[in-house]
Amino acid sequence: MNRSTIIKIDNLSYSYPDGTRALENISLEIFAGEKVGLIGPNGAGKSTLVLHLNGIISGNGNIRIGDLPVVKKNFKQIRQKVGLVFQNSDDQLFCPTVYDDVAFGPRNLGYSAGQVEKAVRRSLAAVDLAGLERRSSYHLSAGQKRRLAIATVLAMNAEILVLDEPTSSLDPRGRRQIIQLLAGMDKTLLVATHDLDLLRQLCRRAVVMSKGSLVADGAVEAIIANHDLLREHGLL
Amino acid sequence: MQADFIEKYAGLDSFLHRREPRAKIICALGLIIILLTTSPTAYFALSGYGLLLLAVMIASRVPLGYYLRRAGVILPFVIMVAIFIPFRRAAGTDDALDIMGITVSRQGLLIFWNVVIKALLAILILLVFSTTTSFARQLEGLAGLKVPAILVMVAGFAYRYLFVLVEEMLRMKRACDSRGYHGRWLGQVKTIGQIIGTLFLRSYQRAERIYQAMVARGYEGGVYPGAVERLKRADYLFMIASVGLFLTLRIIDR
Repeated sequence: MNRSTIIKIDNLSYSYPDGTRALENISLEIFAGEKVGLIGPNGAGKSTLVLHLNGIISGNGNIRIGDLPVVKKNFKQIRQKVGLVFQNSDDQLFCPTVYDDVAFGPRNLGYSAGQVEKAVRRSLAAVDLAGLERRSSYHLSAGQKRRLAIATVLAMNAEILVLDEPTSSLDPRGRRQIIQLLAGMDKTLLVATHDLDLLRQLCRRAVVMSKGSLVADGAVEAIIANHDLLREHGLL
Repeated sequence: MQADFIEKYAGLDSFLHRREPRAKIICALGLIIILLTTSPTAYFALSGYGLLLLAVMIASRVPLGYYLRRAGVILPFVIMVAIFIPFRRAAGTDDALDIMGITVSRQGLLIFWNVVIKALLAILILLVFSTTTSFARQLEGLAGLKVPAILVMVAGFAYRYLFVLVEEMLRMKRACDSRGYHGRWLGQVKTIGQIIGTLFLRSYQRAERIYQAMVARGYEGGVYPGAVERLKRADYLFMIASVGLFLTLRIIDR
């Protein structure tokens, strides 16, 4: 069971409506329980790739999450399995209270009031924000907002967490808390980042993207040690 | 900009803060309807309303000055609209009244008084409600009263992103100021237009990202309001007492 494929991307290409090529023939396989770093310079297509994983953007090519192809009729299940944590927490936390934000996903999944309540308590406790239910997300610190954003997908029982720049604009303590939180999770992680430190501490495998293509895939130590590669793609 | 400004006193604890938002909404609406149907010459009833409100405001533990300051923001608009009423059709009729050489109409003066005193009391009623209820609770109350969920949701978004937008605008203003913009020359009007345009574009993009975040968590257009609490006995008592007192005054003094 250890090596079962959980994300499989085959020959994925995508162009923006204005014709700009954003992704070129991406193929990638990620196994259950892996923590994979997705690195690349700005504009490499990391965020675009991430948005394909639960069908928010659809390009040409095949993507499977577990046994399910990412097609419209499976969206509901896939969005439950794949939890997307966006780069800007203010975009992800759109409800008047912390409680409502965490409850949003479970309610969409059709949980009963009692189940919603349980899911919210469990997820807030998991990110160490228990007791803030009645607060407005606006009042939280940047680090708290980021952890709350993670709680909103934990509440849906996501098996795969996909995070876009989870440590951007956080202070060192906030950053450390996020890294510890993610390191302690027994879920599959795909983390898009520029933060090589985060990569070193959290992931064992790294995938490098540049100009819409995958240019490297291997052990984190090997990729970080390959200065020529990093310099060529603006990562060093 | 502090988001706290709106909800500065919503976190206090008083018998008013503890009332269920639905009870407070029903109460506020009931009181305003009774107030509006009161005759403008029922001075006893009107001062009775005022005293009751004053008592409630004191009991809410919110500084009185805060209510007055906020009422003071809205009242000038009411006065601006009503100020000309006493001057209509004043001259020549037996309705005319001379105050230091200025001719006004008695009827008009009464209407003016009617508008201003009722506006003031209605504003205070709503202020007591909104000051003692956090915005999130107000939304819960509206949802509980079966206001269409989509409206409640839109109001929630407006509240959630109001300050995000204000901050964004302040940042842009600072960026302008630090590059020597001072907004005095007519030629710089263009810059204000650009700021507004940029703000619009950024909000539009943000809206798109928010929508993606909603879809990513399974949003398919349905709205699922939270669980509705039950009204407690104290909430019923509160409604009956306040509406009852106003109604009694209204009936005694016609």
